[in-house]
Amino acid sequence: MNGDLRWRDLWHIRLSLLVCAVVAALALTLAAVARMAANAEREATARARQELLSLQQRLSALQGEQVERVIQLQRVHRLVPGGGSKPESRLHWLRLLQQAAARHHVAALDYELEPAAATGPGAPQPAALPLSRLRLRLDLLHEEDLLGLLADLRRQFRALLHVRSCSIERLPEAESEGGWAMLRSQCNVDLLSLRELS
Amino acid sequence: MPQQRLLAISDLSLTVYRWRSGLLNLEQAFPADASGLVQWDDYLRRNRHAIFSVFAALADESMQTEEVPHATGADRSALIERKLAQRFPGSTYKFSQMLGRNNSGRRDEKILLAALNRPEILEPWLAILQRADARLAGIYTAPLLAERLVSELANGESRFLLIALFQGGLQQMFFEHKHLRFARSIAADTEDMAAVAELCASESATLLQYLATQRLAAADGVMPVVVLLNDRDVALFRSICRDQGSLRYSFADLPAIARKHGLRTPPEDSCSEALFLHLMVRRPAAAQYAPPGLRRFYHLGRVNLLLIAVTASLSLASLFSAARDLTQGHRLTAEQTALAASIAATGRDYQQALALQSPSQLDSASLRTLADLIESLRRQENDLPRLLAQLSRVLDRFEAVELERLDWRPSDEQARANPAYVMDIDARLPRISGSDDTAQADTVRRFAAALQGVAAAAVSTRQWPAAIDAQRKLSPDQLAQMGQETPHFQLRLLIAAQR
Repeated sequence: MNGDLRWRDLWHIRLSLLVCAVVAALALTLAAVARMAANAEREATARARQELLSLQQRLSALQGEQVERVIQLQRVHRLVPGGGSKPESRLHWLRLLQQAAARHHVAALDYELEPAAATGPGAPQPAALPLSRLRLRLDLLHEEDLLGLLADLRRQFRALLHVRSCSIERLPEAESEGGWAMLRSQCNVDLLSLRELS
Repeated sequence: MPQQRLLAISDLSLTVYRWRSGLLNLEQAFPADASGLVQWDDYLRRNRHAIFSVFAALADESMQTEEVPHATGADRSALIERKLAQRFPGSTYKFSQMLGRNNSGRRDEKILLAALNRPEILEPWLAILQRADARLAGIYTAPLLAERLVSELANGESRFLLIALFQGGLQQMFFEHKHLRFARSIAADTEDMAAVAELCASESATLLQYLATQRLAAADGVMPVVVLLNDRDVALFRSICRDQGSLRYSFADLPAIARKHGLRTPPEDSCSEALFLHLMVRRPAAAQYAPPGLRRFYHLGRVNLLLIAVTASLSLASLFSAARDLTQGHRLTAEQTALAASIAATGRDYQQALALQSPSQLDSASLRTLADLIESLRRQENDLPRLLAQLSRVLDRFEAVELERLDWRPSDEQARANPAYVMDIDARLPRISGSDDTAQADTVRRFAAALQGVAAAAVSTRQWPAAIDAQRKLSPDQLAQMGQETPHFQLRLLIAAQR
C-alpha cells in the first residue's frame, strides 16, 4: 500500500469489507444462478428446435416420397395399362403359347418354363417382379413366323417379355418335317410378371 | 456522502466551516487555548465521520527552489526526502513540487521545497484530530491553492505577483511560468483598508527587490501585481498603489472570481479566505503539507468509498445480468411451449402420413427402377424384328450368300437401359470349281460393308472362307478337301439399340 496506508489499517473498515464481500458474493451468486438457468433454458430450446426441424424434415421427406411414388406408379400404369396381373398363371401362359404356335404354323414346338425366381442385381424387389425363364425350340418355315409368335405372346401374356437370345439356323433336309419347316429357332425368353401395384 | 468540514487555523483560533455544494457556512470557532481544545475534542466526537481540510491562513512558509539530478521511483523519493530534511530539519509539515527540467546539460530537475515554519500553531489541533482517527484530506496554504487561479489572473504574463487579503494580514505570492516560486505573509490590521493599501504598495516594492537579489526576477523588468479585492475597495487601492518603477498594478474582482469557481456564498468584502476555503474542496492543490500518518484515515475512507462503489457497481451489473437472464429464461420457456405444440402437431401429421403407407408398398426408388426397366423392355421389343428385316434386305442384294445360322443376343446382360446386341452370322458362298479366291474375299468384304449399314453396326470377320483364311494351315490334303467343301464364313455384328 502507499506511504499513508498500511494493510492493518483495513481492520478499521472490516465491517464495510465484510458487508461488501457478502453483498458482492450474493450478487455474483444470483447472477451465476440466473445465468445457469438461462443456459439450461437455452439448451432445452435448442434441443426442441432441433427436434422440430428433424421432424419437419422427416415429414417433408415422407410427403416428397409419397408424391414421387404416385408419379412413378402412374408411370408404371401408363407403361402397363391395366396395372399388374394377379398371381402369375404359368399354365395359362403355356396354353397361350401352344395356341400362338398353332396360329403361326410352327411345325414343332418344344419348351421349358423354369420356376419363378428373383430378378438380377439392380432389379426391383423380387416380390413385385418374379422372373420365369422360358426356353423355346421351334421349327419354322420362315423367320417371320418367329417374329409373329413373339409379338403374339407379348400381346397375350400379362407379363413383360424380354428376349434374351435367339438363334435361327437352317434345318438339314432330313429334319424339315416334310417341307413344313426350313428353320430351327432356339430362344431364351424372360417373363417378368407384374404384380398388382397400388 | 461524508460531510466536508473546512478548518481555518490561525494564531488565535480554529474556525470550522461547513461546505456543501458550493455553500460555505460558518459552523463553529474554537479559541486557541485549553478550553478551545477541549471544545474541539468534543466537537470531533460528534463529527468524527466528516472529512476535514485544514487551511493555514497567513502561515509562515519557507520556500526554496533547488536543482537535483533526474531520478525516478524510490531513488527520487529518497533524494527529495534528503533535501527536505537538510533544508527544513525538524519540520513535520513540508512538501516538494517539481517545476520542470533544465533544457541543457544534464537536464536536472527543478523542484520547489517548502515547509511551515511554525508548526506549533497547527499541532495541538491536529493531535486531537489524529487521536479521534478523523479523516484529514490535507493541509493547505493560500500560495498552494492560488496556483488554481494563475491561468485566469496572469493575463498572459510569465511572471507576476498575486496579493490576497486575509483576516490579520496580506499574503504575497510570486508565480513564474504558472508555478509558485515564492510566498510571504505580512501581518496587518485589515480593518483599516487604507493602511492595508499602503502596506501592499510598500511590501510589493520590497518583495521585488528581494526577488531580484535572489535572481528570481529581473530588477529592471516589469513585474505585474494583481490584487484580489472587492469592487468597493478598488478605488482606494488604485489611488494608493500606483504603477512605479517595475511594478504595474491591476485589481481582480474577488467576488466574481469566487462565483466563477462555484462559490455560492462569495465574500462580501476583500477577505479571500472564503475563496481559498472553497478551492480546498473544489480544486485542491496536488501539493499539501500533511505528513503521511495524518492522512491515513482519509485514504482509508477513500478506499472504503471505492470498495462500496465497486461493490455497488458489481451488484448492479450482477442484478442487471440476472434480470436479463431471467427475462431471457421466461422468453425461452414461452418459446419451448410453442415448440412443444409445433412438435406435437408435426408429429401427428407425420404419423398420419406414415399410416397411409403400407409395409408391402414399393418405395418410389423401386417404382422408378421398375418403370425404367419396363421402358427399356418396351424399346427392345422391336429390335429383333427390325434387325432381321434389315438383314433380309441385305441378303436380297447378295444372292450368292446363303445364311446358315444366325445368333442374336444382348452384348451385356447387365446394361438393360441401353443394350448393344451381338449378332453372329454363319453364311456360305456357292462352291464353284476353280473359283477365284479374290472374288470370294471381295464378296465377303462387300457383304460385311453392307451389313455395317444395319443399324450402324460394327462388323468384324470371325472366320474367312478356307481358301483365303490366312490363319488356316495348308497342305495338299487340305487343298484337296477344300475343293470339296462349300466356302463358309462367319461375321459378328455389334449393334446399338434404337432409342
